Amino acid sequence: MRARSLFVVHDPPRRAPFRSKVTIAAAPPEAPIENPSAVPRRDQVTAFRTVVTPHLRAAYGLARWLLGNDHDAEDAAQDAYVRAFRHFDGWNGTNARGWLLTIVRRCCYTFLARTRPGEIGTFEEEEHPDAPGQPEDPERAALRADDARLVNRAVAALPVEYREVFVLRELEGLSYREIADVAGVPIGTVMSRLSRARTQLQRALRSAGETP
Amino acid sequence: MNCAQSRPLLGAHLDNELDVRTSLELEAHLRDCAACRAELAELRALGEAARAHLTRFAPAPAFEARLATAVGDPARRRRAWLASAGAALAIAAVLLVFLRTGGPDRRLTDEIIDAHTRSLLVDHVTDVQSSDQHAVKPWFNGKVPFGVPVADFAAAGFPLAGGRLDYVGGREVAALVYRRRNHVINAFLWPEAGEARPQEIAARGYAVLHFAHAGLAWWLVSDASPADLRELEGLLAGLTD
Repeated sequence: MRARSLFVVHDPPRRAPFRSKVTIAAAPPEAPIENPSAVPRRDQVTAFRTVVTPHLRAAYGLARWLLGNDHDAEDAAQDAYVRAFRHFDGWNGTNARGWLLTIVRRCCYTFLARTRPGEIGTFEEEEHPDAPGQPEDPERAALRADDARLVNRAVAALPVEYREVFVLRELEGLSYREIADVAGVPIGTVMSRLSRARTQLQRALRSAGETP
Repeated sequence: MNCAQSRPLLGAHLDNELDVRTSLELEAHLRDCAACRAELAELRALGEAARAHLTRFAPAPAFEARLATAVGDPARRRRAWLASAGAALAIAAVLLVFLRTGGPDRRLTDEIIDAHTRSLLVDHVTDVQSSDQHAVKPWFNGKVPFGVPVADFAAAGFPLAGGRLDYVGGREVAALVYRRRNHVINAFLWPEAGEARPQEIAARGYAVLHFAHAGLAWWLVSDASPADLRELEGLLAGLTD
């Protein structure tokens, strides 16, 4: 039986939807979960951890990028973790990372609305002054993209709504569809926010390269 | 398409998020427009800089321990595991030695995971790197003594990255390499009589799924989710139905 602690084997039905009995005996964090709502409570905790633990880093990373410091990020991420556990029954069993990130993002916005309302909605979705498509000055400075400090500072300076799509895309590699689900906006909005985020970053990194 | 229409699409083009028609129109414009090509190159550099330089914040170990207590269950084992990754590794190593003497499937599972991690460690995931099933399939001819069914499942979210020869369980085996978002999935296969229903094994932080069908034993391994492996299993089993 010692082997059980490292190997958990179970037998899902071939191409049938979630029906099989879950075998989680002293489960390691990566034990497969079929139907979280069917397991008893102590196993529920184990099942929850199994599903969520692989995505804690992504969850914390998003909170940290949205809130800008460890302290607030930990508070929001913990809030999200507890909420996720409370609503674990409602999870549809697919895309655990997207599900967790959605909750984290919502907690971060709740936190911002309460403590720093000025950081939300500081841009106009439709009338943006830097609408892309302007012909560039052929003499423009080259992009300073080799300096990690400048790149991080430029991304941190983006409005939070731009920052989140940019970070979800470039750090987490989410598709536009997944970003749209996490941020609760249409795909078209993801695309335009991302485009504007990049335009702002280009400008920031270009001016950062100029000698003051 | 003109520059004003092309500019807002360049990022989505880099992200492979444009539909085929818009992509073709944009590419036609890019052929003619040096300014938009320069803009595209700059956006590509920006993306590379972001992926290379943006801080990937990790939660502090103490914070993870705080989370463990936040949902009630004391979970001593889990916290102990977190508190000392080194000790956990040592225990894992001891258990591994113990398990080496276990059943053949466990030893095989270990070898499968070893082969998977080895392929990632030495950055030698593919011998033949192609998303074209018609290039990968003939590559195996003469290298392994059995026909390798190969298909690209990009449409289902599992693009084929290539193929590789590997050595598992004392025999030369074929490995098909698929990608699932940022994850690599190794699908090992070799001839084996008999059918085996899909069996999921979670070990050493990896998801492993084994099944045998139509004279082939398949072992899928990845750090992607078990659900992803189940999905791929359905697609692969369909190849030889």
